[in-house]
Amino acid sequence: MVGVARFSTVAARFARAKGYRIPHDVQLRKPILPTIDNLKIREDHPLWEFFHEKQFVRSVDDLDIQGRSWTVQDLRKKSFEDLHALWYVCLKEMNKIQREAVLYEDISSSKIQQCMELETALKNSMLSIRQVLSEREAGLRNAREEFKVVGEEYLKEFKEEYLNEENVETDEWFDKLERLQYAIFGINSTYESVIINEEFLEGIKYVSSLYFDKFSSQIEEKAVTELKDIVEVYKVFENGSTLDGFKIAIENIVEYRESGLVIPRSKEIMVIQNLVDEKINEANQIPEPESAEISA
Amino acid sequence: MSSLAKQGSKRYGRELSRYPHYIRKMFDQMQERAQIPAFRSEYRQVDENERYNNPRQWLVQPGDTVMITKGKFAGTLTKVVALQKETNRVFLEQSETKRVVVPKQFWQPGQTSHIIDYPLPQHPKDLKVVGTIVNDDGTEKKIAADKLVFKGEYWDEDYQKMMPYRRIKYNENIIIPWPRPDPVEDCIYSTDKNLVNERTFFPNSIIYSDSPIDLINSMRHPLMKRPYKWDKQYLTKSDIKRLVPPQPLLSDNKKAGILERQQIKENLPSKPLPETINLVGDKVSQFLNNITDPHLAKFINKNSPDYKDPKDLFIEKQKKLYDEKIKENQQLNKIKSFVEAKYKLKRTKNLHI
Repeated sequence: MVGVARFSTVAARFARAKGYRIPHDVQLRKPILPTIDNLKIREDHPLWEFFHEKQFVRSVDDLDIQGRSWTVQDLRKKSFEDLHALWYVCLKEMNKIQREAVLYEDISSSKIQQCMELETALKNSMLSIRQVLSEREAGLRNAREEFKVVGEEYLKEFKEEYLNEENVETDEWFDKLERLQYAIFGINSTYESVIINEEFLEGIKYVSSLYFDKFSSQIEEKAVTELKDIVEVYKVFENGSTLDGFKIAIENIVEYRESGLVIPRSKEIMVIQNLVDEKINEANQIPEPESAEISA
Repeated sequence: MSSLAKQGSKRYGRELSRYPHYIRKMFDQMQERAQIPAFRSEYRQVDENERYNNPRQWLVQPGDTVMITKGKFAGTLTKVVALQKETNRVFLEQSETKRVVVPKQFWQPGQTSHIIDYPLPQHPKDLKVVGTIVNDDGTEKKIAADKLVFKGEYWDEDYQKMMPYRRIKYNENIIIPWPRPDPVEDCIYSTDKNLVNERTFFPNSIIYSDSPIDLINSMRHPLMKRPYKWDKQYLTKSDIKRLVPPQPLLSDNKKAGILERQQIKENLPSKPLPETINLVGDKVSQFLNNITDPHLAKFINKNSPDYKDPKDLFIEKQKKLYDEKIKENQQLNKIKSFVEAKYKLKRTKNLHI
């Protein structure tokens, strides 16, 4: 029977009444045989991901594995990016091997054993990745909880050490401070993908208090005895890492105080966001040095 | 779930280890009957938990020279070719064989006959490991180890793991080194060693990490009720054991204690001092002299160093008297002989005194 629109009773009745509506000038052609040569698949077809090098099944040598799966110890060294990539490599390989395993199973081939070995190795690798990521998340959470307990004492000790040091304008101390402010408050010195939040504010307050306590005694003029405002704190944080910079910061603060503004606590984040955005825009306007290109 | 997963899974798959041993035997026999005789194994497979998995259990490794101690080839030296993990046995270069008929579809390249000699694997307990020792004059001698012991470990670069030192029992200074394994070629799935060891994760902040913020939600459903393994608030004994670095066998306090005891031992006098001897002697003599019981006094006198037995004294006295008498008689005899000699010439005949 030639196929008619089955579900339409009207169409069926119409067909019965009038016969088949095939034009008389249609010529029958040779049937197209279902061979593989007649199938044309584009090169970038997504289903190719299920085939190893576009083969139907792979050879025995390709299934022969010498190595082992990735262990948890190996993967603990790897960054999230690497783990993410490795997960998808494993997943793709798993898809291929499971597709082939079904074929081998149908013909009850002995290659199924090799397929299963490979599958187990892949599965173990993937489980290890999950384990490492879970560990890391838990570790990070534990570190945050732990810092709530011992953090205050640690920061106090660090401050004492900083204030007792004679010369803090060294690279060693700059590095130390940079590491501290990123590790505990998440402040990156280049403001890369910065998020202004409570922790950021806490961080700049702590660091500026370090600078202020260190250098305010070394200045002769006592124009500023304490930092009243988040803008003043930010100015000391920005410039106050050296004595000369601190002097400039104090001058700026004196200028700022003439305006008579006082930022309330509720608007601190907004103000700092604006200041940081200004700073980033300034940095973007300076063209990058082209020395690297010339040397390359 | 695919049937492959069913077969492989522990939960849904048919696991032979769950059945009792007599039913397992039935399955083994069924499996054996299904195979052609050429591929039937001479030895039954060992259960997974009884299989050897480390060099201490195997005693030998591929490449070892061994001496066979059992069967037709007892006494011959051969080499270990491979380990058969299913039966806990090893294949040797020269060993007993089994004649089997192989169908043509399973012929190996170069095979010309249906009948081949298939080597039978040997159990390592029927083998003696052979090592070489160098004599003082530079000649080498082969020795077969009757029994082996494993003491100490070292990192083997070729095996890429800790290997135990293989020593001969009762001669533990003789170490038979492990043979060098064949180098393993990397397959297409292998990752470069340096790439594996490369470190790319550097945790440097408690605020940010390199993973996405909502990663935990994709790892585990947030509404799941089962307690999360990583949320636990306490440390178990095994956790502490893993987290604490191993202590040295002798702590500093213990070492100091041992040294102190040694010094005290050295400083102690080997002979008693004369003062001590006098003190002890005085006390002992005082005690002995105050003894009133005659029997005990007699007994103590008997045991003193200058005590002499009265019997011996009497014998000595008798001996002295006897000696004196002998001397007297000798003198008399001398005189007698002198007198006789004097008067001999005068009274030649019938002399009677």
